[in-house]
Amino acid sequence: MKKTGWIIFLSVVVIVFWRYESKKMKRLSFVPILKQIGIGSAPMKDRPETTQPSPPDRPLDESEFQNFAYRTLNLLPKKSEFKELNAEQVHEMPDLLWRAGIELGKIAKILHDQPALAHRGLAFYEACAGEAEYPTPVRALCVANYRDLSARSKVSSEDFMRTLPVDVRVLSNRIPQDSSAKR
Amino acid sequence: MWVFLFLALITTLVPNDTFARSIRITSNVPRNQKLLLSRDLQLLKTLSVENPDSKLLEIMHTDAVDSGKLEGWLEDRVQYVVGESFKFNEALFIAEPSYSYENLNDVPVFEKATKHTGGNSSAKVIMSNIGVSAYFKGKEQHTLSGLKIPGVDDVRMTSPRVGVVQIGEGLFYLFEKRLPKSPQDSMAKSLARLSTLFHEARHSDGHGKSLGFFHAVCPEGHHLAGYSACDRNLNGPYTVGALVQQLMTESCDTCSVEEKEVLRLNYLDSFGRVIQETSSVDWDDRPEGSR
Ligand SMILES: [Zn+2]
Repeated sequence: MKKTGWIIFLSVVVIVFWRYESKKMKRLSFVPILKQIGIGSAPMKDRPETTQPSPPDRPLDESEFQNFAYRTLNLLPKKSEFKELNAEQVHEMPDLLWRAGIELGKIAKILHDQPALAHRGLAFYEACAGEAEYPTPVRALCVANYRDLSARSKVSSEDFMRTLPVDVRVLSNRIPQDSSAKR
Repeated sequence: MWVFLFLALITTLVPNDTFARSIRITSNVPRNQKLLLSRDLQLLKTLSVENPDSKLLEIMHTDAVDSGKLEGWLEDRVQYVVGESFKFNEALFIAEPSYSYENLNDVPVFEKATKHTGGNSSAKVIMSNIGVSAYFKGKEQHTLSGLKIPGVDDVRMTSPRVGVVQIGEGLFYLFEKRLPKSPQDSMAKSLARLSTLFHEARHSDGHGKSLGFFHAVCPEGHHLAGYSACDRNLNGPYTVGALVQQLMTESCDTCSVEEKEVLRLNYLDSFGRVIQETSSVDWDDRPEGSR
């Protein structure tokens, strides 16, 4: 009887411990999930929609690219959106710009994989580079892409370049000219 | 034979950071962060670049960026990397109650930010040069500061070049979101982390008014106007971070088209924080004190 009592007691201890441990594991595994949704990073105040899904993994036709490019232009941040950031968000490139880089990366990849869309790409980069509301680094990146794409497409970029502010043009020159685009 | 075995045994028993390279990633840095950062630093050992920007050569006081050059520049400015659990105020102590400083009355002028960048308690540490803060605090009070560094003895902050940098989870998990398709050990993420380290390393330089290469308020018209997030010189942390990132990004053969686009925007953002006005010149980069 005494032995049975001990067995029951130990079983209860094991079950209680096992339940406690499994709860603890659930709590622990919850932490990375919180991080995935951004707790701990400096939160964005507005702009619930700041990225769009990558384009499908197949060639896009012209109208699909145009729609994608149009949505991208709407997602790029405006200067006015940088007014309410915290100290932790401004010492390094703010998330608004990282996300802009991700979106511009999607466009660059499509145009890299589908050279036939170059003329649509030029229109996109012209719209991006010419938009005074976008921050200078975004415009400068678009200018550098416009410069290289127009060179590859044997299109003159000079007239358009002249319409751009000097600071945007000067900053764009920090990106070396694509060697395959040099004329 | 026995001596060799004895030495081998001792080597395995002593904590990692004691025998590590000149940059010591100290014992309170989590293991996964330590591994990634060590790997990043390893990349620098072999990096050799043709035709680097002449400004970078000027800043590094060299005529070529050959193998080990970038690493050497970094090691002169960063000796200890501490983790996020490091509490600056608890680790700071007065090593000497009275200390004689060069340029005692020649100190940096801090520009007043007009945008109020209230701290965010939930924000994660990315990276911060806490060595210069400790040195400057001592200089202000005419005392010598010291820092209790985990796994190392008390360190006397006789110069910002003693080089203490704090890293946090932000350095790793923020880049997770910022380069979402790239694995943590991808070249693209390494380059992003390294350029941050070079930026912070530059805060270990400077002399008198240029001590710490502190940042300036971004001018009207800039997307960060009013924030203390620009440089009023042509050789400060934003220039250094941008030049190093540009160099590494443009010579990265394994970075994808998408990654390069993000990294390019990153270095353009840094270059764009260098205030271009006629009064912007190179600051005196000689370090104060000695380590
Ligand atoms: Zn800085």
